[in-house]
Formats: sequence, C-alpha cells, structure tokens
Amino acid sequence: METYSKVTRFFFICNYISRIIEPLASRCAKFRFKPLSEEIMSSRILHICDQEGLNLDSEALSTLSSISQGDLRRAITYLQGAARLFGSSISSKDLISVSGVIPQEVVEALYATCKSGNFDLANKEVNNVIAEGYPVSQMISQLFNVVVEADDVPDEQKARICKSLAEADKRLVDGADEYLQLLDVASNTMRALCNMPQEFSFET
Amino acid sequence: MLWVDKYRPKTLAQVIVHEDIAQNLKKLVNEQDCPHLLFYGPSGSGKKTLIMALLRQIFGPSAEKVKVENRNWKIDAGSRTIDLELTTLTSTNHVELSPGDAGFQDRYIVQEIIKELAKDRPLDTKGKKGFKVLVLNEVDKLSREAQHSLRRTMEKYSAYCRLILCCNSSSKVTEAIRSRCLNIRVNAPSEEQIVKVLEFIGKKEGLQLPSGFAARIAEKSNRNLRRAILSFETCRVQQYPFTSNQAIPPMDWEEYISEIATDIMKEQSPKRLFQVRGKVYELLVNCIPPEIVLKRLLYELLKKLDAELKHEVCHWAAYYEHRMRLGQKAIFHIEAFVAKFMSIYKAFLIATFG
Repeated sequence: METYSKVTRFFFICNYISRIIEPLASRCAKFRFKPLSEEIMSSRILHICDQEGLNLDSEALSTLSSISQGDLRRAITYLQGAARLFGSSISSKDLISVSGVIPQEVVEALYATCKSGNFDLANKEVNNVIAEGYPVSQMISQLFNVVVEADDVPDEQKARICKSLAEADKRLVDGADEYLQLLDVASNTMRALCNMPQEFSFET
Repeated sequence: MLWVDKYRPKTLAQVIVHEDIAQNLKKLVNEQDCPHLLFYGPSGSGKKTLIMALLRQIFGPSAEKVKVENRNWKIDAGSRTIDLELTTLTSTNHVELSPGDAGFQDRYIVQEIIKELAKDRPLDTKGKKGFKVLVLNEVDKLSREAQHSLRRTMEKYSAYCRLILCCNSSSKVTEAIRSRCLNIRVNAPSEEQIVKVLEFIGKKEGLQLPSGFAARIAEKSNRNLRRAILSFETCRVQQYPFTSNQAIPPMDWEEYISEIATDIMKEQSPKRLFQVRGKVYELLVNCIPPEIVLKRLLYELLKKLDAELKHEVCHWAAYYEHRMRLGQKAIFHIEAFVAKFMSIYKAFLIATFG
C-alpha cells in the first residue's frame, strides 16, 4: 500500500471496521455509513413503484420495511419478486410469501402449544411447520422476537428460552436436522414457560 | 410404468396440487425473462414436478427430450489436476445435475463445470430465450465454500444462464444465495389434496375406491404425495377389488425400526445394545439415511413413553443428530443415542418401580 501510494489508491469496503487490522485501518480515511432511515427507504420504494407503475398500499409498505430490516437492496428484491409473480397490485401477503418470512399466525400457534405444556400437541405443530416447508432458521429468529416481546414471561424464563434458541441456531448452521432441532427448541421453551425443572431427572 | 411417473403432470396447466404456484410460475415466464429460482419444501411435495413443468413451459416439448450423460471432467486446480465423474441430464436448453454427489470436491463442480456449461450460450435464431437453464438438485447438501463460489458464478453468467435450485431445507442455503433468487416455497400437500389425487388416478385407471380407503392411505403417507401414490399402487397389486378395511402395507424399514424400538424398551443391557447395533447396521447397509433412522426411532420411542421422559429423549436425539453431522461415522452416534436412552429409561424405571 505504501510503496505504490503514488500510482494507486485503494478503496476498501467492509461491514465491520473492527475486523480490519489496525495498521490497515490507520492508513485510510474512514467514512461511516449509517443504516438508511425509514423515511428514505419508503420514499425510494415509492419512487420505484411510481416509475414501474406498481400499486402498493400503506400496509404493504410497512410490511416491506419490517421484513427487509432496513436493507434497501433486500426490499427492492422482494418488491421485484412480488411484482413479477403477482402483477402490479401488491398486497402485504404477497410480499410475505416471496420473502420467505413465516406468517405471524404460524409462529404464534407454535408458541401457544409450547405454553399449553402438552408435548404431543407441540410435536404435532412442529411436524406441521416442517411439512409446510417453512425454513427453521427463520422460525427460530421469529420465535425469538415473540419471546422477547412477550410481557407475561419473567426474565429468567426468557433467558432460558433464548439460550436454547441460540444453541439450535448454531446446530442448524452446522447442518443438523431441522425437525429435531425445532422439536428440541419447542421442548425447551415449554419447560421454561411451564416452570418444569431445567435439569433432566434421569440423566446419569 | 409406475403410476408416480405415469400421472406426473407434464405441463403447468395439468398441475392439480399446487395450482396457485403453477399459475404464478406461468405468469413469471410469460414475460420474456425469468429470474433465478430457488424451490424449497419437504420431499414428495412436488418441487421436481413443478420444475419440469416450468421448463416445458419455457422451452416447449424439446425440454422433455433429455439424455443421460456420464462425463469425466479434468479440472486444473493449480498444482494438480482433479478427475471428477458426474452424471448430467441434458436437453438442448437445459442441464440438470446434483453437485452434492461429488462430496467434498463439490466446490470444483460449482467453479469449473457450471462455468463451462454456462459459458456456451445457446444460439436461438428467433432472438428469444437467449439463455440456458441449469437445474441444480440438493443445493442444501453443498458445502459452504461451494455455495460461496456459486454466488459468484451466478452473477457472472447471469446474462446467458438461469439457475433453478432445488432443496429440502432453505436454512442450509446461505443468505447470499437466497437473496439472489426468487424463493418459492412448495408445501407438502394436505391430506385432502392427496385424496383428490388418488381419486383422480383411481378414476383414470378405472378402479373402484371404497369410501375412506383413499383417506387412510393419505393419513399413512405423512403428507408425502409420492409415497401415497406408491402405496396406492402396492395395494392395487396386492388385492383388487379393494375392501374398505384392507391393510396398507407399511414400509419394511419402518417395521424394522419399530422392532428395534420394542427391543430397546424391553431390555436395557449391553447385550441388547449389541443386538441393536447389528440391526442398525442392517438398515445403514441398505442405504437408509442415518438421520432418517434416528428420526424414525425417536418417533417410535415417543409413542411409547411417559410425558416426563419425552423432553429428555428429544433433547438427546437432537444432540446426537447434530454430532452425527459433525462426525464421520453415523453408527457411533445412533448407538450412542440408543445407549443414552437405555440409561435414562432404566433410571426412570428404577425411580418409578423401585
């Protein structure tokens, strides 16, 4: 970098400045990019809709901003996918179906069976989720949101559930089976919510 | 010809089960272009059928004239050359392959072979459809590195080549690939839909279906359409005319696992563990995938257990399946699970009955 600084300039792009080694970072002028604000995103999306002749209602717009999590490229990809599949009039349901986000009812249903404390019911619900083809990694992250936002669950139980979610996520990345992992998560969640003992009684 | 193949819908218009998806796909390709696609869903839900019907929709009947090729590839990887053998299904407009077959060398397939296939652009005199379609099966079995290389290939050759990816679980496909494709979730057909298909086949074959018979097959099939049709045909071979309480033959490997479960419940000892090992080996030798063996075993055991033990057992099943994925030899991990189960169950029996 230093030898050729007369004839060459480097532009580095990265997600995390902390992962660039210090000697390299100190030789560069840094520009920080903040995530795009909601207004900018929605104005851009509306601009695209205008240019492409798409019809997007306000509910669909808010869904789009929530499923894309502040990522404009992702929002545009979803929008294009939905436009290609469903034509020019796009509802929030269409956006959910192209984005691979699991409908909130399905997540709530699984959470409710965990709350009921009946293992066989939860097992049936897990089987259902797998048969519907929903990605389990996505399920885990949405279940995480439900658990964190729940008002009627004490912090200790939340922590227990989140621990099992983290464990399952790591195992899925390693390529473990989706059904078994989701069942394990459901079982752990159930034991936490119904105040069953955390330790197994028959382990030797 | 098996009914599964005979009654596979050939065009998007004939599709009975996923009509909504078929309609959307039709709209998608009616415009000149089509994006990269990622089909995901459980097995027997109709992903492959939809893909073949889609290809026919794009390219017309020529998409059905496929030939199987077994080619040897020589790949120059810097200091050494790698020989790879790969089976591909090709027609004039599309190529289909399962890169997962190459095991740990799958990265080279993705980097070199797909590149080579993607490079020669089909010449279409009408100036339409100037792209080729590559169908990749089982992308969830690809290693991380291969998936990262695939991402580059996808972008580089996107002008002349469209990818259709097919997998069971989209969790195992990296975010980078998922975000470059239009994701299409193919859910397993509901039992009513399976009944509808079975009745349709029954009508075409001129069979008398007693009421409730199709429903029982559908219930046994675990929402797997292929399996439902196969067992329907087996029933037809075994006994016709059908009676409404005719037994539906279960898969023999499932019987066998159910036997193993009974063995384990009866006696918990090293001697029994040794016998079980023999039986598990038998299953693995017959090419039943180890995770399916473990899952089925868990299912059989859960049926027989008390509620308080279920949590514990399913935790260990998840634990050992994960370890199996990281390790090399599946038998160790299945056996470890069986041993763990025996010790838990024994402790439970002692605690309950003294």
